[in-house]
Amino acid sequence: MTNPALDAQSLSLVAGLANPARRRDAASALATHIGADDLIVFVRDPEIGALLAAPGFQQTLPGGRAWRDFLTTCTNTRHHTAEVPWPEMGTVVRGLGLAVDDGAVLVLLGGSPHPAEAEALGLLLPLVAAAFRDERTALSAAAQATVARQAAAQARELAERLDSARRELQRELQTREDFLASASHDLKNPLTSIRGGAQLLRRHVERSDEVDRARLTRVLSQIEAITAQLASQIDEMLEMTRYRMGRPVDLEPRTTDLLELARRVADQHQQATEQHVIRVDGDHGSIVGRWDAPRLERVVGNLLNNAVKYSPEGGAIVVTVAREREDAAEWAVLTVRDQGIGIPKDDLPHIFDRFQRSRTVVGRIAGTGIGLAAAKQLVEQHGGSIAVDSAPGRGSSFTIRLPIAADGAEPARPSEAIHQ
Amino acid sequence: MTNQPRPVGADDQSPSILVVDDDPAIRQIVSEVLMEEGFAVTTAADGLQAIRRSADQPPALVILDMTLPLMNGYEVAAALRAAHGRALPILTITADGGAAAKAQRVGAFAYLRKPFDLDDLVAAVQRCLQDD
Repeated sequence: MTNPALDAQSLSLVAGLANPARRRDAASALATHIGADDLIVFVRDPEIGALLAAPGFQQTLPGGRAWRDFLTTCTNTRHHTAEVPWPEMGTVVRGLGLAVDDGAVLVLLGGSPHPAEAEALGLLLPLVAAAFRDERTALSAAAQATVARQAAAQARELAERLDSARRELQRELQTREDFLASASHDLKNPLTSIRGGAQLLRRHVERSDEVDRARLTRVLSQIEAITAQLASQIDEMLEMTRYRMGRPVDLEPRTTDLLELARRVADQHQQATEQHVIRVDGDHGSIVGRWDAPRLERVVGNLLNNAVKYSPEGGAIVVTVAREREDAAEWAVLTVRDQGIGIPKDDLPHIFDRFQRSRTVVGRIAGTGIGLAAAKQLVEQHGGSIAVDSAPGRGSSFTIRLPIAADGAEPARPSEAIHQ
Repeated sequence: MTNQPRPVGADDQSPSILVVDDDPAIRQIVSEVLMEEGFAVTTAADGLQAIRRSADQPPALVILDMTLPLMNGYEVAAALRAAHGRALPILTITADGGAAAKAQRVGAFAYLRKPFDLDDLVAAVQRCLQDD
């Protein structure tokens, strides 16, 4: 069904509105043509650049409806690129917006029927009314009071809207600052170890007559391990930054054995600590699904890093990999449990999403970096979830759940995953 | 990587330095270089450990990372000063912004920014302990 507001005839009728002598006739012809009871016309003023109510037309929507509401809900809109001469204002108006809704037609000469225009319309109405008062007949005292009241109410509403936008922006800036501070902290720790390790060796070589080869090998291996960790942290940061700008990472799901993955990551982390014993429990055997293995390694690595870091007295770190059935769906469940210092209760609700937009989190949670936020993002992109259970002095337990065989595909045999 | 390496060249008269950092690799590197210089070193990964580990032998100096879990650097500094005297010298280490301001708030005699230079660290420690 074509709407008459959108055809060529309505366009020529709108052009007729520009002529003051023919205005009344053109307006009623346009209203009849479109089938509207109310015709509201705004023209962009060439000097101030804003949309002003055209003289002789009503300025408010029927029933006192808000402009924003009208322009947001209105589905019959059209934007012409036509040029309409408007001699009264000494201008040629470029562009023509039409919006028809609920028996009212809004004509925006030099505007587009977009909700953003509503701000300008709402704000300028009292000013326009005041201009009328000067140019035409004086308004009654009661009418002036009404205009003043409306202006005050609109100013208040606008101030509130500005204030909430400012608060929102401040929150976003704070989140960004926290993200940068965490990112820089995360990068500077490994850099310190690399620089320190190299200087330690230089001092040793300069000062000793006999080079301690075992020490050289140990520190160099450590530096190597830390550079690998640093590279993975940089990838993580880039992905998190892109994700925050609304561009999720492209996962590359491959047939992956989660138990084998957990054992591999646990082995790597075991090499970096003598105080901790990292054990992998996989009583259910291999659990195979289609996941992005390198990114899951990073997630599990993050959890193990935290477990080691926050168990300064050493002790056991247990990784369990199990299968769970819930209704028709099967889940792979991986848990990393430590006996460390735990997480304060106040930090728990924010620990995964401190860097999400518009989240009000005061201050930063020291030392956990961006790893957990990145882990949550990656696990959720797999269609899974991440959860934490912790109390100060009682250790922490992180659990990730991943769907097995998403779109009903048959999981591959474990042997295939290991040898692929 | 042992947690409490045997001091080489340090004896009972050696001033004891407490190193507080939640990064195990940094703790180890700082310990090694200080022990090479003849200091006795104790390490801690958080505030509670710092207080516990320094209870038997009061440190002559504390090297304190300002970003720590559970208790932050200010709280750890206050707790250590309460335990070992207000004059306890503290060298702060900061990874993010505001290094100088943080050091001043703690009343540190010096501060370092990560990634710091081991020669700078040793020089600052020696200067502080020789002045005594």
